[in-house]
Amino acid sequence: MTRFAPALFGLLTLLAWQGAVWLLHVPPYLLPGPLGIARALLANAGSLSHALLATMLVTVTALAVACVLGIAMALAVAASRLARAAIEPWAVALQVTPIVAIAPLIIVWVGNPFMALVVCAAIVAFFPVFSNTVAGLAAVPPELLDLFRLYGAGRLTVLLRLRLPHALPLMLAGIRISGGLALVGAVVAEFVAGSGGFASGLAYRILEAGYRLEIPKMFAALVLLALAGIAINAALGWLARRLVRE
Amino acid sequence: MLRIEQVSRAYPGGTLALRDVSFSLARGSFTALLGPSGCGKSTLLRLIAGLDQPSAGRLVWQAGAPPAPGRIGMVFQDPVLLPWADARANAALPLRLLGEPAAAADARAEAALRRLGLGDFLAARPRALSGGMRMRVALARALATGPDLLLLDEPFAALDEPTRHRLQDDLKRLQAESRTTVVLVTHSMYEAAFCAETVVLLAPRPGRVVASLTMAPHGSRLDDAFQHDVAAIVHAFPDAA
Repeated sequence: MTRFAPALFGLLTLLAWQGAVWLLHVPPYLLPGPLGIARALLANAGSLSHALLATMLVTVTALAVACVLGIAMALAVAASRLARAAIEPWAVALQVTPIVAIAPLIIVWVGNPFMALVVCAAIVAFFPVFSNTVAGLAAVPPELLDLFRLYGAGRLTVLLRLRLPHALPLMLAGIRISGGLALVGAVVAEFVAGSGGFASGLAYRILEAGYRLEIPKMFAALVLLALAGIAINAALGWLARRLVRE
Repeated sequence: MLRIEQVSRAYPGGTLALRDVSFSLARGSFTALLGPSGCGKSTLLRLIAGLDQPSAGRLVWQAGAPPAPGRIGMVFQDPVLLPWADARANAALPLRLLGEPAAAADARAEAALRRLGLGDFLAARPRALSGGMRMRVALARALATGPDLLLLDEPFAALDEPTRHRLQDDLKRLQAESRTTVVLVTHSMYEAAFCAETVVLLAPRPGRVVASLTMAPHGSRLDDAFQHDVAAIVHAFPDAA
């Protein structure tokens, strides 16, 4: 029963939503029903699927960039106190900076629209993978470090055979959070870029549908965004289960 | 095998963990370091393992130099196994760190695990093992290299009484078979009296040697000789009672 609970709850919600729209005669430009949204999804399948692909490409590239930078900087922080003192305050500053405030600047500075979107999304996705990897690398029991020292293991061996495998579960949890944030970052950046006239991704389609009062299409794009988020989360969860074998 | 001469260890901030500690470890002997919390037992063990350096005094090895990596095995109060590796890979870890090929390391690890009664659990991950079994894997890991010196830091403290007794029996048997030099840190005078040939009593703050007692060989915890040795510890060191 628990297994089917999410689908059952979703179905009941959709039925209640559609019923309320019918009974209260809510016009579709205010709130379309699920059937209207499904029709809009089918009618605009071509443009929306292209937009979904564009958003996913930005998201996946940004997540990859955030992982490479986050893990590399976490390794530097774990290896050196100087690096920790130098990097950590900037990482926190990056985390608390609202991307929507700096996205226009990044778009102007970077020039290439795709790269600009990737930079914005990667900034949003960076912190969880970085902070979780730092925490995982630091959480090795001191007795295990003693054991490795007792058998003459060098720093590289300790890193590769102890610290990294030990950090893996926390690192993967961070990557899973970053996956969702990369999507959010991509959408925010697309909104900003879309406002400036650069047509790309689902956020631009949402913006465009809003301007044209095509509210069912707007909701259809939102549905695709939600499904993309669920898919990213599920894929990263599956990867974590495959890699962490405890 | 090792003479510890007037060893002291002070930590930054001025805390003195050990003061003028002296005693000897004969090759093939079984020594227990007994004392309450804070008497520097674990600090002493880390000094012997080469994981820490004394602030004063010295450790004189009969061989002229500290043992090479792999010649000292160590077991901690927590088994600290690698959670992602099975029992075989955990026991083989020291050998792999010393550069032994995987197949040979696995074979020696398997032999050590079988000697400790874990032949049916070679592929089990730590999560699937009981506390006693995890400690056996940690013992097998320390013994897999065939060390000359085995250092045990309160390895049975967190185990229930029957499991502790079984592991003490196994430890005594393995030590008698291999004649490995063993140093057991414990705060249990029963454990010290039952397992060791020599019990070094330490007093706390700062840690210092109060007495060194020779125990009689005991086959059982019901022996009169065992009860006599426990009484001797209590007389020599009432704080341990």
